[in-house]
Amino acid sequence: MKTQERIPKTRIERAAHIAGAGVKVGGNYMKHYAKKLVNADVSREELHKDNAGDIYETLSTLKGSALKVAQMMSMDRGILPREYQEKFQLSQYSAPPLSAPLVAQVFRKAFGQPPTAFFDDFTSKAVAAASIGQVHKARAKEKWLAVKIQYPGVANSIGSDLRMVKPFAVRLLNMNKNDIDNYFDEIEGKLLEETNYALELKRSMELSAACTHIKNLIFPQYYPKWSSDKIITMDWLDGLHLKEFLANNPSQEVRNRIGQALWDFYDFQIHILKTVHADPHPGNFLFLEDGTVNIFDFGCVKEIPDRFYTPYFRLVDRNIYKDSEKTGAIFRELELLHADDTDADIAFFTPLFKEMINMLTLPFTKETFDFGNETYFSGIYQFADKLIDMPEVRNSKKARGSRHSLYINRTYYGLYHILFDLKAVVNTGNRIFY
Amino acid sequence: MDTSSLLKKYIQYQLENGKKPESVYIFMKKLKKTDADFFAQFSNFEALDRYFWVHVFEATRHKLEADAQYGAFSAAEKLSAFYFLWTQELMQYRSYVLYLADKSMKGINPMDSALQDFRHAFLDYASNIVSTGIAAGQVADRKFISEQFKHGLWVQTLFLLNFWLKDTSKDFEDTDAAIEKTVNIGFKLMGENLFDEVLDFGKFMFQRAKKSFS
Repeated sequence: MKTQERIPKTRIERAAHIAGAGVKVGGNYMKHYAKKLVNADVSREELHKDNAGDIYETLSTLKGSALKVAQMMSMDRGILPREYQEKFQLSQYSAPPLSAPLVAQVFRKAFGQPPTAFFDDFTSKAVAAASIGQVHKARAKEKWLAVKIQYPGVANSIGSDLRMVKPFAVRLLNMNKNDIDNYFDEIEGKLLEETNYALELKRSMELSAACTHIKNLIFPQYYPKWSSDKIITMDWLDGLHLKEFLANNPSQEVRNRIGQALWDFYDFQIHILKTVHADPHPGNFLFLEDGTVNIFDFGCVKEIPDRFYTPYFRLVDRNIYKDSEKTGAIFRELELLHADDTDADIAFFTPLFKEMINMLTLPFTKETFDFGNETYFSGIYQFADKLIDMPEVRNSKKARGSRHSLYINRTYYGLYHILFDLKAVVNTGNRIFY
Repeated sequence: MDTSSLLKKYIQYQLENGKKPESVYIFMKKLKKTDADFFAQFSNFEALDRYFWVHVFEATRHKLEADAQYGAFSAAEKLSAFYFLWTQELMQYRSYVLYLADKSMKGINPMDSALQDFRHAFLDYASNIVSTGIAAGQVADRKFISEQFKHGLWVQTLFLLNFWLKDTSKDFEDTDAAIEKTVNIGFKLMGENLFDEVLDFGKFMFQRAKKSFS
């Protein structure tokens, strides 16, 4: 990644930057359609690549929650074509560092003493960055620990950062303003939760404890006595990030074992706990050669309300589609269709949603599913592309899909994405832990 | 009666009565002491006013020097550490400082004569920091100008003091952010590459100002 020349800091300057990307993207589309006039073979892929480069360049010069939003968008593969993905994922790993005295100050405010009073070793510089803070490595007696410290004032900047990204999202994602308002509320709420480390600690401990029985998962131990609303201390975790892990060519058996563990982890949370680690970003997992996964960072947890869960998973049952009245009722419950939709709207959207749901829930309906299946994934991307190309979808003034679906879809997209990268074959049909 | 308990009673008196004692005699009589006890240590209330600021400064320096990490810090980190501890140290006197700021209407006035002893002590400390910075190459040694850096740091100190007084954020975390940002700006100004940090700080203040109007 090339180093930034400078970071735009004022709101106006940041806003100008975002507008810059919008203009450039517009330009890329123009270029695309102009090329297409002359040569029909120009691929959308090339267009997306151009766009992704420009958007990434713009977003990577932003910090704070704009960075977080880039990460969000990079998760939602259904919204964002594949070419945008890899670039956005880079944004996960950069943030401004806190100075050593500020780290000491955060500690002093929480516990009355600087970190050196509690730990036998404490790195004065951060060893890793999180999007709203940084991680230090510490040692207490024999134990190595990871101490995550949040940047002061993060919570205050979330609202204004999101308002800045909003018009940009409207343009780039072909989402209309209704959708965006509906979803941005949900995103803002979740981001604010992520700044509450006390809540994160509580959830991390609860969810880890509830999931320890799942095979091949490793959860760190958390240390409340060294944690506060700005600090979380847990065991130091070894392992590799997904990309580096895959670079070592793990065997198919190891990939499957890890894929299965992750699948079971999500299945158990969604269907039994109804509370889910809704950030299956590759940065939140560390993979080990023996086929186990370290799971941490429960900053983003989505509680699934029953009124959403019930209709959503009824759609997995293919028989339901035979009854169009029932299907319509479920679509309305999920806010995919609205009471004031015209017959033409219903006739247009119903088969689209059926196709989408069929595709996304396909793994649930099989005994085993090969996530390395390229055709399955390119089918999903093609479908997303098709949606973007449909003027009826693009010009729809109504939000389609409940706000809860945002994080649930994101969770599944994220999970599928990791499983796809792992090329794992997973037993998806029988729930072994019931 | 030692200096610090005299200071404590003096602060207490002003907070409870909203004004200075009429005279040293009356003040000491209320404490059931003689005025000689007072004059043995201070010549008048103004001397005590000046002592307050020096006292907080010295207490901060003692704590800094006791901190094992402090010696290894860079010049910028030393200064941040000073401000963090100083604002922390002031916390126990917050009501009093607010009372002082209230009296002068516009926050703590840099020309206030009560600040002058603290100012001299701070300038000594600051020129030490600046020369450490120059020695380590973190501060550019600019002819004639380097000599003036410490005065810039003094302006920054008063800015942070008034910022802290107006800070309404939880746990005063905006003050922490302001310290981090102003120290970065200060050292960029003294080193190179100034615009990044000035803009960042501008944005920070802008958002804050916007918040307090909405």
